[in-house]
Amino acid sequence: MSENLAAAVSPNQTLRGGRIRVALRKNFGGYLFIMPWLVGFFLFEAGPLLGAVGLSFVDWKFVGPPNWVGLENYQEMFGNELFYTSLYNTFYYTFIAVGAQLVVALIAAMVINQRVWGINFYRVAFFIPSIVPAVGLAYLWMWIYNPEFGLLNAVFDAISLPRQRWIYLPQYAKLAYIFMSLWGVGGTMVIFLAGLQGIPEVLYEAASIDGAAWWARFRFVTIPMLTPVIFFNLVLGIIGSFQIFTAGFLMTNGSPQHSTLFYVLYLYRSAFEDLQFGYASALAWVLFLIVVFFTLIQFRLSGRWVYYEN
Amino acid sequence: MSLNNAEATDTALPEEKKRTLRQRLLILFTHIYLFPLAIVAVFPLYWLMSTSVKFRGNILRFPPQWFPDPVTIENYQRLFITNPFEIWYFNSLVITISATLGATLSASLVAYGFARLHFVGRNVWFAIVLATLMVPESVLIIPRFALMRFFGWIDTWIPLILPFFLGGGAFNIFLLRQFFRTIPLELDEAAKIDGASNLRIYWQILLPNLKPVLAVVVVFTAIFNWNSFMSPLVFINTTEKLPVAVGIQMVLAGSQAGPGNTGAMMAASTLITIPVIMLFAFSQKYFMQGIVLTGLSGR
Repeated sequence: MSENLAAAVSPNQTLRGGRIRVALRKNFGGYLFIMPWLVGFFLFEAGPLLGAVGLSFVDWKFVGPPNWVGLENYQEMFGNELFYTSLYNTFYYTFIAVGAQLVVALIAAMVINQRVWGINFYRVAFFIPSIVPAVGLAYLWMWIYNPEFGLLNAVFDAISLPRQRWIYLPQYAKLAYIFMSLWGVGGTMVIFLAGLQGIPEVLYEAASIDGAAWWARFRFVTIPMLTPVIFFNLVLGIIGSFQIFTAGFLMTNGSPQHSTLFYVLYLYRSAFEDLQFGYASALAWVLFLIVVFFTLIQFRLSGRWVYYEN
Repeated sequence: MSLNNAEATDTALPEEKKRTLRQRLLILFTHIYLFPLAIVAVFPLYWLMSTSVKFRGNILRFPPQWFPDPVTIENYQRLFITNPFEIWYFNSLVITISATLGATLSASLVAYGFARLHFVGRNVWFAIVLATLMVPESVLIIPRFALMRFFGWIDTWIPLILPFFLGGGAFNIFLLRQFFRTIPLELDEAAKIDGASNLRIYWQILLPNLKPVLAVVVVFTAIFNWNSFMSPLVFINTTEKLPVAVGIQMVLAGSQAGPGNTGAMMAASTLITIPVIMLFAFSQKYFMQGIVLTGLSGR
């Protein structure tokens, strides 16, 4: 009986065992190669992301055990004026800065998209500001914006405009950060340049034959062909701008009157200055949801305006 | 502007050796408006470096002194005398080189896996790689801090280096995978017939073909690490262990950041900027190409 059973089962079993072994062997190599990323992903990305959820429900001052408080951190956050201030500052900065950056970067890219002798010099000149380290950038612009001895006020003096206090005035501080960010659009510019060079010359020729002047060619050839690149820069620009931190931390640290208290600066302060790790984790999760929300919205809307050739 | 582009492009065609006067004027016109724009673009950088070699009395002057006269290195001297600047600089070098090495190795290994090997769930995992591009560093910093503290790695360089050995960054993985896929499969198959293992194909056959894009990964990652600010600020406490970016901030932040200290701040900023510019200068060709390629990847 048992022999029969064994006989009936065993071929099937070895087959299955063999199949598993083959499957294992087939998959083993691939997983071995992506193993570093898998470990890093669970340890430093997924783990912390979930950890942040857990931390957002506790009160934890870094020493001693965490204390479960439920939704209190979120209640505190939504009742805190600084949360809304930092959110407003960040949205204000992000939307104006990203819009302005896209326009400036596109114009710059078109200007350097010419095949004239020495064009590489201009490309390098426009690009190089974007690799200046954030710390150097912050100190340099603090100096340029200096109300007494700064370069910008010297320029304003020279063209008979009244001097300003730039980053030290609540009305102008955020705009000053936006202006500063325009100096670093080199990366965006080069991506636009790549996009421009990918547009087939034939399209321009055809448009010219149809009698299109330069504006018509720009409007009906360049822009439509560039929409995937515009989309790419828009998505990355918004994700990046939401995270403005280093410059704000070094230059004004939230002042004057919280007008430059950006979201991540507020998050950093809550965590590492006030040692409110639970509260700061709630802030972090809300930031994550905001970024995901805006990214998904853009992908959803992209079907309406982004043109893909295939 | 498009008009200019089109015509300027025409003039550069090799078959048109002789240019008409109109075309020559157009080229001249291009330079006439590009040159001032280039000056405006690099002027802040000139301002940074020229301020760093001015005497304090000449820095605090209005209207400003456009050319440093006389030139002095006193700001640099002050920087090195009052701070362990050379230690910070060395720290930054060690951290940057280690992290970059790790990122290049591990990102290329992982990218090879995604590009060449077949395994269950490959597409799902790769979608997750891309999705992590969306996760801001600032969202992860607090739990990461708790994790590093749990491992006892606070105030060491491990949190700044180890993550780069484990994956090497989603962006690098993506970039390298795209390039592995451009190499013909016949190359692998020929090697496989000769009995080469996957590791060997990766290391001896494919990697040498990827030198240009590896250069891009190296430059991107090195600049990223050299410029990195938030992580070292959070993970490192001891002054002697700081990288230069955070080091100068510790000394020059807050009350000392007034105009009286501008010379030292500009000297420090110059010293932190120079390696990045040098790296860029040496790899300019690859670097630009790399951004161009990554730009196209957005399509």
